[in-house]
Amino acid sequence: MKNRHLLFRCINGLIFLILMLICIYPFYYVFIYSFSDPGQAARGITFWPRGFSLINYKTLFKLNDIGNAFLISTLRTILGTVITVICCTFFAYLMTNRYIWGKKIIYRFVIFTMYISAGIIPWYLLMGRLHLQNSFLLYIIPTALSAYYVILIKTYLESLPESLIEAAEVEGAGLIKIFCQIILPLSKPILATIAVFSAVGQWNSYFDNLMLVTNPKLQTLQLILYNYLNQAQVLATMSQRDLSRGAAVQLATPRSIQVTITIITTLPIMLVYPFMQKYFVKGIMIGAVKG
Amino acid sequence: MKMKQLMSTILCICLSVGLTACGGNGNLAGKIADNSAGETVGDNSSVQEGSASAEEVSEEEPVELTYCGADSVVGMEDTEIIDYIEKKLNIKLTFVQYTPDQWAAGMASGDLPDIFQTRAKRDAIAVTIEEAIDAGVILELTDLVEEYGPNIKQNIPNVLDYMRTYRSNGTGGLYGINTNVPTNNREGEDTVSDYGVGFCVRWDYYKEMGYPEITNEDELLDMLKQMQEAHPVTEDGKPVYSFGGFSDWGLWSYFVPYAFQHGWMNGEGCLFGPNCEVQPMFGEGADIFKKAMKFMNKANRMGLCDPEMFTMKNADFVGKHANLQYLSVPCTWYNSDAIATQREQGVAETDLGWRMIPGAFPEMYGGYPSIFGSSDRPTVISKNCKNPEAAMRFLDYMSSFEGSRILMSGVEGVHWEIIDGKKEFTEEIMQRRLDDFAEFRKETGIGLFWNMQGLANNARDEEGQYLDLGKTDKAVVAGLSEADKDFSEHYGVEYPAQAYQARGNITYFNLEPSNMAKALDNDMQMIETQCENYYMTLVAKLINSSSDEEFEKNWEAGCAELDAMGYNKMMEAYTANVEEAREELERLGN
Repeated sequence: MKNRHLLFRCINGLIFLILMLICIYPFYYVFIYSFSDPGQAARGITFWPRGFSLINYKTLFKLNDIGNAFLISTLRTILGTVITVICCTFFAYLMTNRYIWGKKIIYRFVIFTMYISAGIIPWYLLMGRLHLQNSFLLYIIPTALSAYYVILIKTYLESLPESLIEAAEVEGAGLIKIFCQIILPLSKPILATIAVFSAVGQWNSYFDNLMLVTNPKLQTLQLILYNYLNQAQVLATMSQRDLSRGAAVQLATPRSIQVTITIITTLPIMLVYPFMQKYFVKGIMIGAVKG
Repeated sequence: MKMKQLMSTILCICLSVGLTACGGNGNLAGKIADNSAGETVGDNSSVQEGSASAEEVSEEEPVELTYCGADSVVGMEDTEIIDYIEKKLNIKLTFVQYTPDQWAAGMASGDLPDIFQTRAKRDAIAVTIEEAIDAGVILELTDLVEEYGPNIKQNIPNVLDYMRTYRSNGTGGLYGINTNVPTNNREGEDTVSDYGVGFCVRWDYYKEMGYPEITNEDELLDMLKQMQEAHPVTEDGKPVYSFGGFSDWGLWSYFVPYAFQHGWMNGEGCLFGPNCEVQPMFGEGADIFKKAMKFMNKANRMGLCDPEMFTMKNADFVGKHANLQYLSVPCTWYNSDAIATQREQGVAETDLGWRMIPGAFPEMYGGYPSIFGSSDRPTVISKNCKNPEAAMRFLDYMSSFEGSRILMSGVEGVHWEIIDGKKEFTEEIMQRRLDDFAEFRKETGIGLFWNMQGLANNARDEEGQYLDLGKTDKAVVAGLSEADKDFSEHYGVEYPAQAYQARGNITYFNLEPSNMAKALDNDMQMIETQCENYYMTLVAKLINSSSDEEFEKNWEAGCAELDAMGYNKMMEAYTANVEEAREELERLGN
């Protein structure tokens, strides 16, 4: 019996080890490719960097305005996350408050937007009418309220004991006081979950920048890197289309730039994620089960 | 409690109001209103309305213009020649590149680049000029050309008539200006250093075999077989093949080299002859494409093809080529990394590269010059442009000999000079081009903005001298690598292209009828899309056929399948459109 148990655990462990390697290897491949010499890497790499080189990182960090873009991306991530968390939590709290009239209709009105979207053109026109073109507010106002986050938070808040809130009301606490001193402290798991989702979304977001921001001072890191990648691809295509020159021509290799960009953009979030993970799992599961 | 209820209600109302968009008369809303009424977007009235056009710009302040070309290099404004042009015209250029979403949003809102290139048919890069005219988002240019376009009127007058007749959506107005017009060119006398598309074989191995004479495709396959047997693996043990392929360019890599070297070029689901004769790829009338497939099938059966050729992308192909896994490549475009690897492995400078074997095939692809220039991508000015006069001055300058030459060859006295009456690059520029061409182009911008050039690379000025000084004999010979010189010496010529010119026919294609053919209707376009989704499957089956009999069986079955989808009907409709356009051209004396 003990032997069968041990055998099962060994096989199980082996299977999961293989699965883990399958999941990790693509990211590892991208990581070592980014530290390889572009020309040599194009010939194929497997487990180690080929011709270890920092040229890809040096090239990208020399881009104009990369420092400013990093600052904008960081600011939008922090501010956007804080505003999203506060707005979604407060709205969800109002939707669970028994004194709010018409909360069902308002709630459904918001949830409706999760299923039905008018598309890019109405969104573009709307942002223009709201004067959000070329404004930092574009990065934080439209994302302040998300139907999906509201559902998660509302479901979580409904699991909190009603008696706590009643007790606070009896003591004379108002809406805001209850929200700040009871709801928020008790909602840490779900708030951390929403914060992680929102931070990742804000960090990776570039579409709003691409469509509505032409001011170079407001460009995000993602867009700078996206433009640089396009530039490298166009230059590489142009260079390739020249008749063979035979001379020592070094082409920019878009793939090496692509993988380096992947590392630069995912690394900050990967550094934050482990600290939030315990809240993440707890928050999602509590909301899901009780809901 | 009542107070709390009242406060809660007020908060709900505030929330609801905040969720609705505020109506306003901001710039964008104003533009939409103006645009839908067919008037000029923004605060400016259109030129043809005769009212004051642009907001006043002081002489000192450069006018800002956004430009979106077919392959605008975003962020490359900071080059020597663009700096010169900006100072000359007192403008500030910003290159932009729009995604399909931005085009959709831009067309709906009128928020488009000041100057942009349209396309022959809607694709990921741009919209068509007909769509832009329909949407009312671009300016009619007659008055602007009349007042600010002297070079356009002088150098490309035929283009203006062409655009009014064929690219005005039936309105007869002038909405776009073509680029790359071959003004004053001398067809048949153009200098090229080499030709780029065809079966390019690994030259050091070809030399090793003693330059065996190749006069037909079977001899080529036998030679490659021997080469592959002599060099079955790379230095790091990877298998070597004679042929590869990449699926993300459609069928291009599987048949284009063969077609080009037999005097045909690729179209949409068909092939074009030199005078735009349409030959279907499949079914009745198909000839060259079938031969190309037979050729690849034979090569595959001889073990010469990479088994991954149907699943690889272009980047994978280039990577394998850089690893020296291919003895033959379909063009000279991808050789740079592979040549670098050859160098690392000690291949002599004189032996580097992949080249076509002169005389192996009857034809060599020379290009598809059009008397109307790039008629598939006319440049337009959007109604969004705050200073259309400055935009037209820019386009006019690009259509001048001086402006086009600056884009192709740089600035006189800086990049080129006049020596004994002949315009040539300076010695310093010749050397910079040789040392690192990619870096030279990035720094100077020379040759980077070919889509902006009003005149073509083979255009000549009033003195009959090339605008592109890279085409002079001196520049061509000076730009030869050691390998080019060795090749030229072996074949007894000055530069490589002459070896092919002496041993075969250089085919130039006139594609005007296809450029001007009206688009297929929606039903035919749907058939075209369906067929395109099937081509790759059929090509893989054909090339993988294990015998001639199986090949014929797969060919017949595939053609029957395509016929059932409507391919033959679609080709008939397309051919009829092309013939109609040809008759129209003949009627107009072109």
